[in-house]
Amino acid sequence: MTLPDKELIARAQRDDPWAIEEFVCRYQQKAYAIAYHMCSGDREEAQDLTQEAFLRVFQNIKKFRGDSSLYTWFYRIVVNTCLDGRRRRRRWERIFSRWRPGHREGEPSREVFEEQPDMVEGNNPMAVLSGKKLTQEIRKALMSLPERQRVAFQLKVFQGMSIREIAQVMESAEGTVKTHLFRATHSLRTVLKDWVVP
Amino acid sequence: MKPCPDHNETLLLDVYGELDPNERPAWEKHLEICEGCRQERRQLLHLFQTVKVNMPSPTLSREKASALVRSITRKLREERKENWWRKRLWGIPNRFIPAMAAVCILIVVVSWFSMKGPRSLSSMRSISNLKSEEQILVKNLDIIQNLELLEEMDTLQKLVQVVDQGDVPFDTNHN
Repeated sequence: MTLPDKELIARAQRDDPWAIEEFVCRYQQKAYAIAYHMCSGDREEAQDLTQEAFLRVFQNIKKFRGDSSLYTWFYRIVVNTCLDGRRRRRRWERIFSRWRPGHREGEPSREVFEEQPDMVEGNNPMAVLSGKKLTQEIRKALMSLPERQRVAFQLKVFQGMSIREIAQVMESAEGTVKTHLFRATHSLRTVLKDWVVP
Repeated sequence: MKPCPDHNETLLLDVYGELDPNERPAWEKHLEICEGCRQERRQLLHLFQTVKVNMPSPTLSREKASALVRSITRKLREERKENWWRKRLWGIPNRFIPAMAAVCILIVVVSWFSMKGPRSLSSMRSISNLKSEEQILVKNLDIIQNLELLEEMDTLQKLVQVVDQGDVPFDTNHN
């Protein structure tokens, strides 16, 4: 029998090692998925950010009073950790890129694009190539979105959250989230117009 | 064919699965008669489907997941131990540490200057503590420094003597 979240949190707040382990096991896949999508598909970075997010959760778990749901409180920490990590990485890249050989001023930082496993098309090389190209195009299109639009879109499409939940995670009004989503959709539709005509 | 601008928001809420159930019948009626909205809806649904299929959410392997759990619990234990020692040793909140560091620096600076003062005084006093030979040397040095003045004084003394000799009255009994 699985322990309800409320009970689990109460035990974790009393520093129960079993509850802490159970909490990590229960939420690590979701946290990792968010981190993976938010940090340009870098698996190592996503793992580090997931760990950082859990540490932040347990550092602040005694402050959680249950005013918002555990789900949104936890996702808010994960999203903020990922955004902080991404900003930190960009800052370092900006500093070190000056000393990197062959660096040109104003050149955008290179994002990590890890290859996805082959798509459903499987054996057809053209279809695989096309799938990989499409994946890259989608990533590029997502990364070109403003930060808040991208977060809203990723939480909606990849995590299946409702607009209300996204608003709670992003600490914004529902109307603002709707605007972010609509703008993101419009941008993606424009950029990917050649790929998405059914 | 373009979608109706009046139904833009409804269309997006529909494709995101957020349309109010009360608004749905009217929207479905509109879709039946509007080819533009129908086409736009189809394309947006296809866009989301394509994005989802091509960007699958990865899962942590069992080994990586258990490694993550171990690493998190270890770090938490370390943090707790660190906090426990900090509380035992200092018993002060972190926010006071900069203030305490500033006070320490101030104490060092003040004590440095207070040490420097007496040392200079003692160097002034040290002449009286010199040995007798050293005192003679110091006096000689004084004489050497004032030699010119002494020579002038010697000349003056000789001059006075000569003048004094000139002042001796003539011997009246001398023939």
